[in-house]
Amino acid sequence: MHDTLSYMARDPIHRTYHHNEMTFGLVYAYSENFILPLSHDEVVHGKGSLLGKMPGDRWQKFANLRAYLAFMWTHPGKKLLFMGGEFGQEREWNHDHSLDWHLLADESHRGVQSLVRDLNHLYRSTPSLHQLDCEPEGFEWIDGGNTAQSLLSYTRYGKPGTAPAVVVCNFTPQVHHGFRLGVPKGGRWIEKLNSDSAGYGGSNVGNLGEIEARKESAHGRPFSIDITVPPLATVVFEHADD
Amino acid sequence: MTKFSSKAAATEPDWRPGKDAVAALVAGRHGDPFAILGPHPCAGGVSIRVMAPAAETVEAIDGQGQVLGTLEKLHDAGFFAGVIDAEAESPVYRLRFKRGDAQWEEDDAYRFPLFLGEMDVYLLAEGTHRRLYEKLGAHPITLAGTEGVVFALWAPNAQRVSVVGDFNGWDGRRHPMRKRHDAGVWELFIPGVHRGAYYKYEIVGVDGTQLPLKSDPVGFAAEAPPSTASRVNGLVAHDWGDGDWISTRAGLQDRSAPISIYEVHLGSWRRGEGNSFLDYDRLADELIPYVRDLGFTHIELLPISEHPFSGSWGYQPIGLFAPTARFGDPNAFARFVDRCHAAGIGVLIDWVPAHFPSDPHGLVRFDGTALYEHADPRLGFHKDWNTLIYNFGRREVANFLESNALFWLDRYHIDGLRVDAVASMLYLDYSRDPGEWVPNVHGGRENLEAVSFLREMNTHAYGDFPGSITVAEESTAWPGVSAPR
Repeated sequence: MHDTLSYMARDPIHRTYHHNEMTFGLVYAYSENFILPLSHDEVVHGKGSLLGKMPGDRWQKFANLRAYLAFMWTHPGKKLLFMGGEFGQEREWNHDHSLDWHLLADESHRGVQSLVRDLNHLYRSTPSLHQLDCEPEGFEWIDGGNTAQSLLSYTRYGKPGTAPAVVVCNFTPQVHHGFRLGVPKGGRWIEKLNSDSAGYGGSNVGNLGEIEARKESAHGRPFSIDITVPPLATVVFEHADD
Repeated sequence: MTKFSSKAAATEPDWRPGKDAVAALVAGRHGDPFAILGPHPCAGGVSIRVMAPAAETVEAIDGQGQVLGTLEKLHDAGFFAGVIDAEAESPVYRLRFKRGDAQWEEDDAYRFPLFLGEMDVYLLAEGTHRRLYEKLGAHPITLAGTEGVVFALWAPNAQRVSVVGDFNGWDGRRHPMRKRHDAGVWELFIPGVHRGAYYKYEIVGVDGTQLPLKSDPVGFAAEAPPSTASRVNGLVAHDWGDGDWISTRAGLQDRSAPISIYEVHLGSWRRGEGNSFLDYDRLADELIPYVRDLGFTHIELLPISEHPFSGSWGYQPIGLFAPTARFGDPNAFARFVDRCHAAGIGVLIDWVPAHFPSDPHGLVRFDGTALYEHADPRLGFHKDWNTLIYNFGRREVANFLESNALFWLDRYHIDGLRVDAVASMLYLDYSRDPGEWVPNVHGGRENLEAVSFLREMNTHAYGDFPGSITVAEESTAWPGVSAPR
């Protein structure tokens, strides 16, 4: 996950030039029993904490971290998170002291923790997000090349008969209303998780729970949904009619 | 008094060992203590020989405390011998020591039979004893009706090895060990030693130099750092309650299952009063509910094996078979794992088979030679970390490491191993400039012996412990590292 952290450490203005840092992981994702590590190696020797790597003001730092965690939890591969990352530890890890648990008095830190809890629940309860974690069939770009807007969109599939999920990650503070996203199936798409929701400390820009797909093609898919893409956020939809 | 004819007596050995042998023994230079110490049939009965530097007099007594014979001091350093009337084969007696008003009794370690069977010795020599922890290390046992501890250690090039500990005043003359030459393994049963005793090994190396005291490479418990002794514990004896977990974990750890791992350094997750460590039980009380609440499926512990330097976070282990004493004893760690399983949480550990630190009490030049490490620094020294690299091509070393992997799966019910620093193991030129490394037999950069070791380890881990997993730290472009052979 080192490349993706380099990307996240950049100002959103410059991310457009480094889009490949976020997409390169798929090149080698399937050769092993693959785990995405946000391990202690990323938060020692002057590298700071996950939260500390994120650019922008305080609100943006938290929004970036949430968007990034949700990207990781919906990316192919098993998940690994070093302690403290789940609530936005601010200081670099020190093996000789406790984590900074007092931070949980602050709602932004509690928001990250709530997000991680929900991401784990979503990951475990959504077949498309884990069943084919280690197979190429479990992932498909919808648009991996949107460097101009620093948007990533992809579909996750489980075993035959399970509902697919689509994910949109927005790595700029720009909100996109009426963004047309190609999806593989018609019917209803439920917004299962939005890292910008108020419960996590976000700005609560979203899609009011669900969206009906239209039979208008986009991104080479036969159907599409018109969605609102929140700022510095990741949104996950699961298909409802399977 | 003699029961033998004069002719027979003439061919019976003297009750006194040769002066040279005694001199070597008291100097701590004798490599075969059983040839001198303990009971030896002789003219007139059985000669009992004892090394007792602290005693003024030594008597051999029977089970009722009746004196069988008084031993004579033959050397000022504390070597005693004397004849008792007893069966030539396996005589039974105890020893009574006196010094001034003080008096104490011990059983004689040198009257007991061998512990390691011929098959053990054969497999240890062959490097195929996958459960070598059942034989090496310190095991409390009952031998010939007497309770004590059997110690066994691999040190093929040592001239002499002694067990030293709080039970013998850390005196290397008291308990020199017997060498099993076929395997280079030394063993000794010491009666009366108990669980919890502190010990190390005193080794005279191949060139006759006495080495710094060594902790037990297969020690099952350690003294709390910064102290470095091993502690007698035996294999952890926990009454496991996780049968359901073990029988279902294959499905929970399959590549199609959701696996979300919380990586934890137990020493800094949460601290107690005065910045003290939480012990394994309190960690279980607080960490398990937290991990469950957040929905993680597994915890992965930074290396749990004993390590002298806290600042290494466990990545420079000495004591691969001992859970660190910072947080409690081996049973407490077993309880921790069992409670994780009861809560439906898998436990992975970070495992460090790539290298070890050069602390004098550790594996470095263990018997006076490069034993665990490669002798050539281009293969055996890691300049990035100032650590020594295991000699994966030596069968006893590969066996030691593989057995250690299986040990955690077997004795502590660990669900999987994350193998640290795999890239440094796979490539001979890892972080080395031209001229600083040695190519493999084909002229390439791949460390074929390390690859073969990892594959062997994977094969047996998956085969012997169904449902367990192994994970390699990023192995660059080498597919299949995490797969069995």
